[in-house]
Amino acid sequence: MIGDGPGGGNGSGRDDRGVSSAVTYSFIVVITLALTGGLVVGTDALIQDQRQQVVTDQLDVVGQRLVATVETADRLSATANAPDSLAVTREFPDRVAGSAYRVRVVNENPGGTESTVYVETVDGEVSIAVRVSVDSANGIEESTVTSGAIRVRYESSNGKLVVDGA
Amino acid sequence: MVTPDGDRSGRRPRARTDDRIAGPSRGQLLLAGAFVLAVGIIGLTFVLNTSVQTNTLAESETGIARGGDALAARQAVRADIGDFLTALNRAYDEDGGATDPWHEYRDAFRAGVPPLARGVRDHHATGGRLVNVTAPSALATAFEDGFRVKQETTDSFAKPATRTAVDPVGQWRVVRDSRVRNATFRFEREVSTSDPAFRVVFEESASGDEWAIEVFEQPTTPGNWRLEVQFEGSTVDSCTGPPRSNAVRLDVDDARFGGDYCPALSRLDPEPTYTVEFRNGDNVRGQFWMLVDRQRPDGPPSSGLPPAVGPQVGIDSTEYERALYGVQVAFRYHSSTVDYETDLVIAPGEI
Repeated sequence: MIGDGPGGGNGSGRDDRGVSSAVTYSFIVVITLALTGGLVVGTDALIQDQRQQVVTDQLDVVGQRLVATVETADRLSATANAPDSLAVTREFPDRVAGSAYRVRVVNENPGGTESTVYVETVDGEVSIAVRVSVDSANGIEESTVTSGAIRVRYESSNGKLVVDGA
Repeated sequence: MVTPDGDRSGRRPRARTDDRIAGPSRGQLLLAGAFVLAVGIIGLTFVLNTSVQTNTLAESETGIARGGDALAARQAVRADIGDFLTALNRAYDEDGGATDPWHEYRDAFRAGVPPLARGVRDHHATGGRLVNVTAPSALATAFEDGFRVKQETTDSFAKPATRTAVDPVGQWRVVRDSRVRNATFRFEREVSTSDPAFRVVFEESASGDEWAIEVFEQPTTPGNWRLEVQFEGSTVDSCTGPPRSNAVRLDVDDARFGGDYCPALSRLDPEPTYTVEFRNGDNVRGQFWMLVDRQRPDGPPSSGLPPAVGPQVGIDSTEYERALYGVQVAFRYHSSTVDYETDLVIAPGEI
């Protein structure tokens, strides 16, 4: 019988001679899976890189904004008489690109006026550092605060600025 | 009958052999492609969204939120109160004989602060901020009494008591152990360009260090007025004024010489308190005005006008009148992010 199915045919001009539909289907599935897997893995890596960059950018923005706030508080404390009260409260995002983060203030030298503000994800994967120096206040107290609302206040007992949670 | 997709019998046309092979393959690839595209779009959306959030985060920085507006408000209040103080010192004259010789100034200041504060409050209330200014009630802390020491008629800057002498004393201690603001000089001419130049010396009370402003005419033709700022006898910086054929004005706190900005004057930085002394004052003619604080920590003075001249009063001059040297006001600023309360000591133009 001469038919149209695989293996059939009536001459050497057919290009599917000797190929069964099952083999073709298997090849297609395997190749498709390989392509799909490769693309997914590649896309995932790309997205992870981009996400990491976004986290870094956002932590940088948070750090810069916090340092700007500290500097403003420092300038506000620059009066002949020490301020009776001074507090600047800022709202920062609770998470950046899905990651929780915290802020650490570390003094470069004990009793000095230069400090470094570290903004880092809780898992420690990403961390940025911004240096800040105060002129009017007697320095910044070392502290660690979690994300969200952060307050910079003037502590009249020692003339220092304090970064704490609001 | 002919159907849109079929032949006359209504049956679909049979696919060609190539189509039967490509059909399932195309479906699988489309499915896989769609899946990858979906994953990619979701990832891209996530990244773009967080990126947009970063921008939003960065752009949401406003002066009001950060506290810059509080600084601006404080500066504006300083300027307003300073202008008011200047106007008040111009408008009021001493009345002599009162138990509190500065009471007119104080009363006028107290009366003037509430309308000014109302204007400040109304202006900032439109932006959702509470800004208030009040004058403290305690006399000792609210007001810093002072004098305007001056020489309004053009004359030598030599010690007044010796000017009629053949050889006047060029060294004149004008202010002792005090602070000075709004110091203004107008020099008509230098008497002799070959003699030592006129100097205004600020001798710091604590350290004894000397800052000086030396003013002279350039001897070469056509000469200009010249000014040098010196520290401990060494020139720190200098600037050139207008032609010496014209009188020249010197505003020390504004750092202006002959009406132009003189950077050298910005470097003048004596630590209060200091003694102000004219040296070689017999070599120049002109006028001067300056506001001097009383430096009396023991409260309002007893009756009578200076000179109750003594070292603690700080005035060693012949022409003077009462003035308010400085005032202290309570400043409050409250916004959604900033809580700020402080006392502002205002003495505009202080050196």
